[in-house]
Amino acid sequence: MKSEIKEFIAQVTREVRFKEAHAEIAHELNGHVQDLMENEGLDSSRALARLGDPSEIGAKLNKVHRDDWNWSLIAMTVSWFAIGVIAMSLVGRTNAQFLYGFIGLSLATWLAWLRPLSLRRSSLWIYLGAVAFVVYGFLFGARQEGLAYLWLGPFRVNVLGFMFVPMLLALAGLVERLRSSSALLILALMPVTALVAVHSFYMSLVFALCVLAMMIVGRVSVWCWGVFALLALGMWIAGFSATDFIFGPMVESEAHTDFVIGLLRSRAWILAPLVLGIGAVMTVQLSVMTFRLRSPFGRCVSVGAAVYFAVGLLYGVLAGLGLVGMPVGGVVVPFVSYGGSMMIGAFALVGVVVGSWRRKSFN
Amino acid sequence: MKGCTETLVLTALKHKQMYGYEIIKELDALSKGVFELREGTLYPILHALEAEGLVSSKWVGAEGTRQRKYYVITRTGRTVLKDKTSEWSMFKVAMDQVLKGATT
Repeated sequence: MKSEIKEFIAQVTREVRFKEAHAEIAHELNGHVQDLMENEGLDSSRALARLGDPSEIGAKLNKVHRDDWNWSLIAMTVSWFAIGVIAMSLVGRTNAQFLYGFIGLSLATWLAWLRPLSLRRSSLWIYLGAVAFVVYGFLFGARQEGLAYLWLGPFRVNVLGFMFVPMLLALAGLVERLRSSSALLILALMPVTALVAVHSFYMSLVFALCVLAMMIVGRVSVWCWGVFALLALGMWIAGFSATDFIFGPMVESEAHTDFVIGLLRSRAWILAPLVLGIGAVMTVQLSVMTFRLRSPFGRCVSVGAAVYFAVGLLYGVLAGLGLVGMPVGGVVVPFVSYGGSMMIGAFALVGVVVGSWRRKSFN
Repeated sequence: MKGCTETLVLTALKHKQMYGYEIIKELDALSKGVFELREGTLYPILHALEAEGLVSSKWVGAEGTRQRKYYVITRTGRTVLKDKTSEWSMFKVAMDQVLKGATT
């Protein structure tokens, strides 16, 4: 690039405060100058004169490319978490929630800083890492009721639960990279198979629904997501009708996951509408954001988070009111149920959505 | 009238996707040289239209070769363009009437 052109572009980008937008602006403007020079035989200074005043262009671009932290989403996440902590302490079921909240918030902040592009590029590695972790857990971890647990420092984690959100994030990237292909189909079905195989009724349902939504929003072809939906459903029916699940409860539900039931029947019942209200508003907001985001990866993560939160709330409420007779075990009300992995995972999802939102004005 | 250049840009994109330089040429041809835009100011307009969801863009061309950012009008963009066009026709009729009244 000629120094004159470079200087002009630098004058434009100097006005744009969000530095990450610079590269694309520079690339586009340089292309225009090259076109002027090649097609109209202008020298660089004449071509630049045709563009106009660089600082005026820059000032106008600055208004479009704002670094837009979505504070309402952040505020709702934090208040959802805070109300959850209060509610759980009122029903006398506190755990290390503050610690998990702190870890989750730090992780979310880091993910919001990180360019979603780099996350998307490493999606295959994240996927393979998650598979390796799960395989390692099942080979060498402690087994209990068909699940596998590993100690990570002081934390005892359910390997499948721990890899739930990383796997979703990886698939969001893979939906964009692999498009409609049998490779995507296989990679998406593997985690569902694993969750069905360990009889994780609720998690397999949520995971499949999240991935299905991501495929549809990510513009994967109808045959691809259709086949995914059919195979997941088939696997699900086969997996769960084979057990005694229709005749009796299958997984002993852990105390904290019965949260909504516990809450509704306790003196903290007054907080239940608050939790549900914030959850509902956040789900709607995430759905709206999905359609305003441009990058397929951002859209996928956003819709994945929306489905994850919506199904958690809906299932929690329906089961709590006794309207669904399905096993309640493992139902996770996001940000409220005190399981560490899911809490941190929910924060991570929001972090990636905020990160995508910040960069929604460029590719 | 507000949003004049925006409407012109949307009109230029009505039939095919184009990159910035092509849009300038198209506007020049459509208006027979009447609308001369400082070419650099096209980009803030395009980026703002994209932020409002009226156009969308994609980079075309392999890395290392000449890449161009193509813009295409969205469904929302077409609706807005239709509104703007009818708004303009009404404005034009009214303006004509006023001017005619003033000369007679």
